[in-house]
Amino acid sequence: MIAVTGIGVVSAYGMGLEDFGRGIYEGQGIHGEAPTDLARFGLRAAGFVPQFSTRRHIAAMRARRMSRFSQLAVVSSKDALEMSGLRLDERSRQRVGVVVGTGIGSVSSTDTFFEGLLRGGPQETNPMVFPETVQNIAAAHISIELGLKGPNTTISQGDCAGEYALYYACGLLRDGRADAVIVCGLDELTEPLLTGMKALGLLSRRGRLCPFDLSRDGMVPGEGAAAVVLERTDDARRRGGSISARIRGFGLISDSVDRFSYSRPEAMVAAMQHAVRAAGIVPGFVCASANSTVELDRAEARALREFLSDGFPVTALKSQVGSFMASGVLKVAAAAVALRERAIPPIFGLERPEIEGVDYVIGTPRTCEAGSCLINGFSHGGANVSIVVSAEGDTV
Amino acid sequence: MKRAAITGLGVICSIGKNLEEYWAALAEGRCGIGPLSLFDASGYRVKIAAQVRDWSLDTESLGTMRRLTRSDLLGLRALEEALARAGVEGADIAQERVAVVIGAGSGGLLSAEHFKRRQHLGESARPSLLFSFASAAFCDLVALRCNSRGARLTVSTACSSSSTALGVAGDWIRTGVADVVIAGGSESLAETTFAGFNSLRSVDEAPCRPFDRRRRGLSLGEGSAMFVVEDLDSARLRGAHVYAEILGYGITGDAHHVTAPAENGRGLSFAIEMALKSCGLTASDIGYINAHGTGTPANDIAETAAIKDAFGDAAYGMPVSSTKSMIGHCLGAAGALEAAAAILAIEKGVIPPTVHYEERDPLCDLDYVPRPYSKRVGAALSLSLAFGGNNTALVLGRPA
Repeated sequence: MIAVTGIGVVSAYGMGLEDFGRGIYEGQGIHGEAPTDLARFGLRAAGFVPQFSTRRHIAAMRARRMSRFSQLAVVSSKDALEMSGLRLDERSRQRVGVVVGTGIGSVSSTDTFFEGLLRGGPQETNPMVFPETVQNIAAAHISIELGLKGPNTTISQGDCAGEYALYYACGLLRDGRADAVIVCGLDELTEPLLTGMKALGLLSRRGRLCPFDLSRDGMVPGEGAAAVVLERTDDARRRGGSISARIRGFGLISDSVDRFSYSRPEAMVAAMQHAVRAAGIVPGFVCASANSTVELDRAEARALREFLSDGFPVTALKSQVGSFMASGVLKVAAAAVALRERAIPPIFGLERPEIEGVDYVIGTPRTCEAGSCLINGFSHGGANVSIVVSAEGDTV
Repeated sequence: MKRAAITGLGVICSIGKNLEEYWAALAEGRCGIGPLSLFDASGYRVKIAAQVRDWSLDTESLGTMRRLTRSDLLGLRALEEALARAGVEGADIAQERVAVVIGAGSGGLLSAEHFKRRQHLGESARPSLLFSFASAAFCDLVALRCNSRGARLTVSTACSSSSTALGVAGDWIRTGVADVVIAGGSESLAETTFAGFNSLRSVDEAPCRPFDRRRRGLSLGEGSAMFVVEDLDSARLRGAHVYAEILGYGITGDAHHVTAPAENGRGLSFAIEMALKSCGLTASDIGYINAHGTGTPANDIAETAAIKDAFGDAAYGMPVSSTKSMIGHCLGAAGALEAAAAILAIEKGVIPPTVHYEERDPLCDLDYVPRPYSKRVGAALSLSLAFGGNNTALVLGRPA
């Protein structure tokens, strides 16, 4: 049994869990200022994180040497650790792990490094940038900044990188390799990534973000970092830690499909079934994976219709902050907020659902007394993860 | 408790295009490091690497898979061999019980470089060059090839990726996450990586010579090793050959530096202790250590210190070799290829050497196996370190 005892967020709604918690009820995160000319990519808006300061979190000299990707990771992780109230000494630091989930790492660092090579040859490459191109750099900076010497790894599994990072971290706690683990799920939105997504035809042509809607035609990208501190529930209770949510069960059923296709509904249903069976509780609402693509949203809606009996509200976080691959940890943060506030945030942009028979939360937040939530992470390539998350006291 | 048996093993790298060739070359101490021709290396201080040459892949095995990158192709070739050796394909195993765990390397970086270079020159670039750029792309391909519908995980910690992936595969069999796990890693040389290691002055003009007083290193390499892992009892029931058992693993972070290991190797010695504890072994059960052994000054001293720290006096009687002296540092595939080298010691009783080793260093004073020898090995340890201070220690054993 695993407890979430700390949460840190840097999202399109700004820095910190409070802004994020307010944002998901009040407004769309994709309407902030964009640091890039989005018209070139056929987009009106995207889910950029507003300018943020690292001053409170990272010494200036070290922050300068980090990519923005690494900064996002360190800032969110430091907030999560602070909220957990864990007091660490030299000994216990060896028992605290770091697991980062990222779909694609710091693409801008790779691009900058290679750009140097193209412009000026081997002599013009920047040795400071190269380490930032490896995907495990964020976990390295987190461990260095926070002095955490436990298990350290980075998980990359497409659109369920965050969900799989959570799964791996729970295993580290279950088998006693660590006593606490910081799980940070993040991806960064930059011009080279937009260029790649555009080339691959992944972006919405109309620039409209509207999961499950009849008019949807592709992704509107976003970015963000969310970190949680996980502990065994008994340990957290024993030390009097405040528990924001509990992770109750996982379902890991994939489908074997082409790299840019999504799973068929049957495998999604199986993933959700496995999670609910493992958790032993029936979740009260669903935080869907839907990303405004024709294929994923249709398959997921069909799977939800088949899996859920009536009266299970469905929301979609990506309607709030745009699509980014390792959004799974941010979904846990959203679930924790929704369980605390007893209100489910709405799916923005959804007006005319393509698939009927699913109880979409449209327009305004919905009051919900349920103590638990089902999170879906369904990736291109066919990997699916479902997670049941409950409030602290929920034992039903 | 279930036990994790390796029943399939496939390899391709600079010194061998299948497992037999690889093992034969390791036992002879053949070095695959030489002039690099995959891209123009003339502008670099270092011009060598352990490149895979003269190889191909039976395109029939690719089925509907298209637009693959060099790294995908190397990996899929190793996978075909692993599947054939395991003979698992006709076996009655539910698709939902087949999982995939991959250690990612630079993946589709080489192809993405072509894309970017063409754009830079103002030429049109095929978008499909980006198909394999995201780290999980190879994992998804393996799942598609094996019709896997179970759990799927890509570990992306560069140089220690595939060692961790094998550790996870062992856990997944033991804890019943899956009945069969396809695991391993694949890596191709790419100019970004080559330029990156050059810019950090981490690569050497001369071939890798680990642990020597005048040590050289590192040398980059490429290749793939893929494994089929399943429950020992069911493997025996269907009459499969068992190469070795994955006993456990340990994983830690140095929290020290983004590119250099902690000088005292403390993070690595914690990983070794965690690995041994995870399978209930002690230092005296280990008969061979396949070292990370990159040949850089920092690595070899830290690693030697860690081995002494974890093994005490027993460290001095222990064969410790670096097969990177033959196959180079294959980054994302390094852990998998080196596990396959450790299995040579377990299965055939041959300790692969550290080639080019000549002169003892006062700070590196263990038995680094200058020449191959025979020894019965019950269990072996494979060590992997990575940028960011990632340490993984993997324990493999002879199935009793």
